[in-house]
Amino acid sequence: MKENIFTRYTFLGLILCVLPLLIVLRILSLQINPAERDFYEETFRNREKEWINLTPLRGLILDRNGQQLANNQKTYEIGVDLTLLKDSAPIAEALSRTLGLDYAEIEAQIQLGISKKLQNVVITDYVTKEEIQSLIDYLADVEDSNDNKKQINLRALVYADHFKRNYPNNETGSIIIGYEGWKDKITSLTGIQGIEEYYDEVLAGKSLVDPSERNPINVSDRNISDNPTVITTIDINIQAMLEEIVDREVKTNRAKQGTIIVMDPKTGDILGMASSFRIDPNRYWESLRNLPDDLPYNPAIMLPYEPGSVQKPVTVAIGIESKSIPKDFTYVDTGVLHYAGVDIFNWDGGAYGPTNLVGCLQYSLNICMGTITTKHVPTDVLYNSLRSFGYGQLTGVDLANEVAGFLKTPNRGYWHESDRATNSFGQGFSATPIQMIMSMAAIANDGKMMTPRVVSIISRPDYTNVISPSEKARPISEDTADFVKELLTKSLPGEAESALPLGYTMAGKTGTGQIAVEGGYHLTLTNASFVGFGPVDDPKFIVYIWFQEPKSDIWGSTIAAPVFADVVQRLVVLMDIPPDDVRLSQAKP
Amino acid sequence: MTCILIFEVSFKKNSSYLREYETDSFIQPGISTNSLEIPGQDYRASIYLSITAEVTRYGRDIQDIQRTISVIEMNNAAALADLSKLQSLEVMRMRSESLGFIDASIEEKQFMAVENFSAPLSYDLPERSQPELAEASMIPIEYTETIFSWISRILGKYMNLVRASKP
Repeated sequence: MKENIFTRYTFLGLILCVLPLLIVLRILSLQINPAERDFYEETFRNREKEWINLTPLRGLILDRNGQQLANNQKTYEIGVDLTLLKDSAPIAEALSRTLGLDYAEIEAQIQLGISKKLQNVVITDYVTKEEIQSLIDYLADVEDSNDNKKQINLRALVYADHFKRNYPNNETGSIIIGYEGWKDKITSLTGIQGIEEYYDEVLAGKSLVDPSERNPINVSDRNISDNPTVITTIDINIQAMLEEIVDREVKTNRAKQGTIIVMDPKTGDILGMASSFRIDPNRYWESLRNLPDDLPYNPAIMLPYEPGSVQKPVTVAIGIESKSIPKDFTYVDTGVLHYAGVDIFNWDGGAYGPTNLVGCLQYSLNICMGTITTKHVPTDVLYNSLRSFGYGQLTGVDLANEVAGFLKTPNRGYWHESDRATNSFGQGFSATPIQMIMSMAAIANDGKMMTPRVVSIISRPDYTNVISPSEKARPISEDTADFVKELLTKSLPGEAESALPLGYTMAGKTGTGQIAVEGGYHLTLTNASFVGFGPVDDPKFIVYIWFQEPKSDIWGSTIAAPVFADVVQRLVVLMDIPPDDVRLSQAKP
Repeated sequence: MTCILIFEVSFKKNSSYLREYETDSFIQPGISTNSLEIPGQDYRASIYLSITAEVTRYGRDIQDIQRTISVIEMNNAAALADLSKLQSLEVMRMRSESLGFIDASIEEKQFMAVENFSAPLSYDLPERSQPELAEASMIPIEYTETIFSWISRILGKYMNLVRASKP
């Protein structure tokens, strides 16, 4: 017995001696074998850390008054944990009853998951809070019932929340805002069109995989910044008003499409930009199907056209600025201008006799404009001036996918000597509505042409970046701008009385552009436009209106001019602009 | 003993406790400093453990706060989206119409000239107004480093000394 105990103690003693020795040997082996040591060190470090994928929420987009235009909405993804699944029927029943999903389709999805030996299968996504609540209520009812089999089977039903982009005003302002979606099957979610695409990097931020410390001793700040809020220059009430008017007028005049832009000429701030075709960015995949193939997403910045007579104020400004014509310029209108093998007529084919510049604009005389550019303004001066007004170039508006118009230049490509005449009244070149409003704004803004913009502030939690208005060019002097402004104010009542709102002095010009077809111009289809700004003494807005191929009438003066008056009458209410008599009496010392 | 030696090195810097321990008043006349060695080491070890425990507790609190902040941020975003739905143009129009309001036309809007009135000036936000952050206090490395990093630090120091002493 004693011997037995001795043996046991000896054995225990040996173990107690050998074990520490083994540990020491192991430690030594680790010390002399760097590869093994590094492996254990790395393993230790990895265990200390928890790798979290931090994807920041996309930044908000607000209108100029803080109204949300785009934000992030919590939605739910619903799936089935196939490891817990016994019978798919109760799940298919629950989802078809509460979410209205197709019973057979759910069954098929589950069976496909089982056949592929998956652990989970996603049944549906982007389920709203209200819908998920109805599912939760249904599950609670089942729990309260005595149907144990159903209860067990429904435990395989799982859901997880995540965020999706949300546009609370649906289609209002969608041509400016854009949307978040998939460009193709390969790329991830990204901003498409408008602000969403132009400011995609800013709004999306950087998702990062953060090594969050599990060890509380080493805890540190999670270095993820909130994405900035983008504050736009858009007034959502003005935007909604413009969309309402453009929809109504396109319908009334049976136009192909309509576009209206309202801009502050002093800053270039776009207050509203409406098109008759809009998509609902919350369901862009369905809306895009309704967009006609030959229309771009935002015609205001992507669809150049021959603007017609709305170009005439620019022609007069170029003539005056270059001192090619005097301010009291007159000419004798004979009803036809022969130039470079082309005969140019007035819109009505009439001859107006001796006419001054007010008459030229009031009667919208093509021969007058052609005379100025062909007989007075040198070719290089004309085209340099047109370039300085921004024609044929991008305006630089901060919206994605802007398209430059096309301006032919002398001795290059298809330029013809007769273009000198036709360009003067807005034919023979193309420009987008945003280009047209930008160049006309130079006349309203003392000769300073501002870059149009839709974002004024980018606000981050730690700093605010106020984007200052930027002057693109100064194509004419203040004196020339004032003179042309006066001409437009005097000529407008004679040209299009319907454009004048009560109580406010406005300056403006109508335009009827012919549409080029193979071998010439279309005989009946036109582009009806109007550009106007006011109040003339202190312009607060400039409005550009374009109706493409209206069928009720062809003239800008009858189609677009009354729309200007309508827009202005509602604009002055929304912008709180008092009538001239009140405003001017206020301004007096 | 190894642990105690490590504590010895760890507390060489930045420890207010160590400074207190090293004051003359701590050493009583007639008592050998060698006889205080082991209680002194124990004292240091207990301080180390106590501080480590405190740091761990605060670390856990910070982790809890971080998780709570994440949840609150998500809830905030969801609440903002809900609010935007209630304030959307369509809902606001429906609500105002149900209350009997209609759009004001230009004829219905009356402006009056008020003497000596001047419109309030618009306020421009300052650009890049970076807030100044107070410098956070740092926990000395001795409190947080692992044995491996301590050894490599000490060895690194030793190697530098050896290199520097070579002619």
